[in-house]
Amino acid sequence: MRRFYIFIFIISLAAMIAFAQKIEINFWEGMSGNLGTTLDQITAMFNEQSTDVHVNLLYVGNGSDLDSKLIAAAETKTLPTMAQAYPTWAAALVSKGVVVPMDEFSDFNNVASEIYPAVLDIGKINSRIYGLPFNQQSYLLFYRPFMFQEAGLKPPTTLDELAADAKILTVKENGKVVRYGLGFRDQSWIFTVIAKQFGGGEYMKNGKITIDSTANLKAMNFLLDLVKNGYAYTKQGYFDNELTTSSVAMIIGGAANLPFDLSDIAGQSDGIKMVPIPVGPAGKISPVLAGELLLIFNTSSKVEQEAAWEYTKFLLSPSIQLYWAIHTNYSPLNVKVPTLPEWKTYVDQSQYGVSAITSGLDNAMSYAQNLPWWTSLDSAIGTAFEDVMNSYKSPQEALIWAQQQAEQAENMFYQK
Amino acid sequence: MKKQKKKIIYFFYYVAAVILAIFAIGPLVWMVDTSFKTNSEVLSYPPSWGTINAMPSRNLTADIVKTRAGQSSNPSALSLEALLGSLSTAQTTTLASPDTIAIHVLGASGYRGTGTMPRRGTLTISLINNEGDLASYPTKFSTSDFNKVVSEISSISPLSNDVKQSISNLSQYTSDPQEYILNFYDAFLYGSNPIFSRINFISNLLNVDGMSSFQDQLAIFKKGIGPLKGIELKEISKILENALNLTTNPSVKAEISKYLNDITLYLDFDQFYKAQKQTKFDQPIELAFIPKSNQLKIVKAPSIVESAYTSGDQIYITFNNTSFVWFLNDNVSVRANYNFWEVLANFFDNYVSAWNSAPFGIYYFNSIFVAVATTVLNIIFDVMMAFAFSKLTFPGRDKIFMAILATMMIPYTVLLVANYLIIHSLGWINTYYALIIPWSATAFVIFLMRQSFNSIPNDLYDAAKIDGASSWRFLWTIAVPLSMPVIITGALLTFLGSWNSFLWVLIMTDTTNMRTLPVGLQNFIINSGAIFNQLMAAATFTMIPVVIAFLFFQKYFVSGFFRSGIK
Repeated sequence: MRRFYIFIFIISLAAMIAFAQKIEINFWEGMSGNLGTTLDQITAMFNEQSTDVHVNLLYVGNGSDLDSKLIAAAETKTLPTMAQAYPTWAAALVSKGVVVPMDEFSDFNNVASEIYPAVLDIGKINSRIYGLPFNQQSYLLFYRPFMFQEAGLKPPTTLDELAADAKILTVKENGKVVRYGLGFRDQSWIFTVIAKQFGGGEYMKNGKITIDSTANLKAMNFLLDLVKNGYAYTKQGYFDNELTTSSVAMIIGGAANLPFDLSDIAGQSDGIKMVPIPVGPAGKISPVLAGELLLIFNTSSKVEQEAAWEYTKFLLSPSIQLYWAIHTNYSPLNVKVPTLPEWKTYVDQSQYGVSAITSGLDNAMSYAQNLPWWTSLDSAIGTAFEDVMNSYKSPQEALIWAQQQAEQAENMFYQK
Repeated sequence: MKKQKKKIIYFFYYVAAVILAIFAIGPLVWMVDTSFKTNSEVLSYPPSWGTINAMPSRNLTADIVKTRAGQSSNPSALSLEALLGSLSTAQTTTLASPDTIAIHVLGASGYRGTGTMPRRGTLTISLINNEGDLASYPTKFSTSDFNKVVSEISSISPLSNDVKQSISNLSQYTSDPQEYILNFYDAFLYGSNPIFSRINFISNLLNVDGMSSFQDQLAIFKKGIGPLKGIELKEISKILENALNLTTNPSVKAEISKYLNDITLYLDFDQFYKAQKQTKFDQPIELAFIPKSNQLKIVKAPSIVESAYTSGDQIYITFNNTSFVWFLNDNVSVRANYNFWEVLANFFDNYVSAWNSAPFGIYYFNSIFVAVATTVLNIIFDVMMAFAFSKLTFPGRDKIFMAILATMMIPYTVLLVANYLIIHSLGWINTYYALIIPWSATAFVIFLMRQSFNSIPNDLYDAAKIDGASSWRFLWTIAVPLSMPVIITGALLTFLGSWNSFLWVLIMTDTTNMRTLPVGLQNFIINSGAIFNQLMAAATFTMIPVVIAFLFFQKYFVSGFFRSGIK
């Protein structure tokens, strides 16, 4: 009889091993190039460590490609287990009822307690956390250290200093500007970044559109004055040529651009350094973030959802956030990262001022807001900003126009 | 006279043709040229044709790492496993040996395509002092001189608070001269907030009562690269001595003396430091890369060089019993040399990186399979449909034809979601069916072929009928051979369309195994911009099959358009 039990035990053990398959989940992501390679390495490590979950990474194009595919898949209920999405598309997917609120998972509070609360709010829709941020980059001020040293200047910490430095660093030869103090793209996010320093930049407050506000007007005038006085240069595209030819001293840009900008000037002895966006009347370092959220979909089974949650926790753990930040320059969102000795060594060794990517994260705000109709609002602000910088409209006129456009877009969305 | 005129006209024709050819081929040539460049060359202005990758040697911009923090191993050079390992053991990152000098090569590994220092060839590294000669190091370090200078500088007083604090911190290292020297220069010149940082030191000095009258003389020292240099400190000393003579106020005098003493202290120590370095390097250090290894082989070097390796953007050289602190104030020049095969490898580096950054082998197979299958199906179906619209008569023929033409007017992105729903309901997502079947007939090619069939006289069709040929036989044995250029044109158009198709493939497939070359190209475009050199390299090898196809069939392609009446 004993032999029989042992036999049964061995057979069932063998069967368990044979049938113990990992739960496979599909993750649609939009990380290409170096970002994709880093995510591959992280996921391979997770798959190796996890005894019961296997994540299939599926690259689905970046930005709008991923978003349009998600919307199409939501219609056909062919969504993967999880995906990355920008806040506005996350809101659209939430309104379709396909997203699992992250706060439903058992140990959500443990995970949430390690993420900066302001950053956690990026995924908050209708007062529930539907998405957790993963790849969020901070907008910063990039500057050329040699130009500052030659002029005997320190990098600016306030907007007033920024304006003063831009004036000093602007160089004219034979009446023609050969170097501008500041360069920025006339796109909505730049305006939002500066408006935030004036206490604005948040265009939807308590259910009301607040584009036409005093703070936003001040920000618009601040940038316009710099351009009008000839100390700042603005254009639509990237500032890569301006870096290689050293024709701007400062640029407002996203932290994840740093490796790109560095490769533009690879081999030149004058590098690039980063500092937080100088503080304005808002009084403290107020970074604006841009990036995607992680979403888990309820079209998959409960077991798959739990598996996706395990992977999400792994992605947001301190060590993975450390590795991700070091290799991509996205901000580490876990509050423990800045306390890790490896992070401190990395910051000490960095010649690029990488500590700026963690500055003020407890006071951060997402550039994109999680409203399903946010793209219309964003495009109205972009147009208004461009019109002001090109002197087609006065700052006040442009903000009133953008406010009207956004109100129309909101009405149209809810009429549908 | 007439002949002359004709010649002139021909001359202008040729000039026009050459200009057109330049406009048409120029971008292609630029694309291929760009694919060999480094990224900074791609973006340099004014643009140039050449690339450093084709040169047998190059100078690299490099700095000596002057701080202890810079000496320790960089977390960014660790693999994920190694980083997690170091986190779990809670060890601080290991410091390189004090006898190891770290040289940072700017942009060495690169981010977009090739870096400035490909891992091949040899490196000639010269450590150079401020006079431009090869650097020196001590062979007989005098501990008694060290003790003497330490006691001398410790007795200097009064000092400014920062310096006083630093000297008191340094006292812990008096038994370890090298550590003392490293921390001394860290405090005064190279640390995160050094005493002789231009702006801070001069601003503090100008804040001293009575010093504002020296504003003009001192403010110029604020401008300059790096911390204040020895020669500048001497000039500042002179200004301070002058100020000391002019002032009568004892408290101001005391304050100025503090700064003067700070400088004297530094210069005394610096003199001791320089005096210790008696032996000069007799030759530069020549190192060779070892394939698939971080170690560097010493080809030729002064006897004190023991070993060398690279990690990340840094080159580490270990000396025999000589600390790196003796080279803190020196500069470094790095020259890389390559033999013919290494130049070739540098030249095609972007191609290798581009090919390795995505599974291009799979993409190639899929692209060829899908494009060929689509083209074959198109020829079969389009020919039959075009023939029906051209020669057969049936009710509603022209209306159906117009309906097919009308599909050309709708941008296909508008229909993408609807198409996705159809493909999904057929269960074709992630299959070759989704990539081939919906594209197995093309309205434009049908139109093209119909125009060509229209040009075949109906009499020919009638004659064939009278001779007993069926419509099927007439189509394949008479009409198709007569319209061969148009059919090949249609086939080429279909092939090109399928080869370049991006959004459709991206939306209808989820796995790498089902994707085609244009999706692979997307790998080089990320939110922050494009990796131009690799993108151009990938575009070049993606384009090759299409160019070959065009070269083979170009005479049909051109005559096909003429026959269909499209110019």
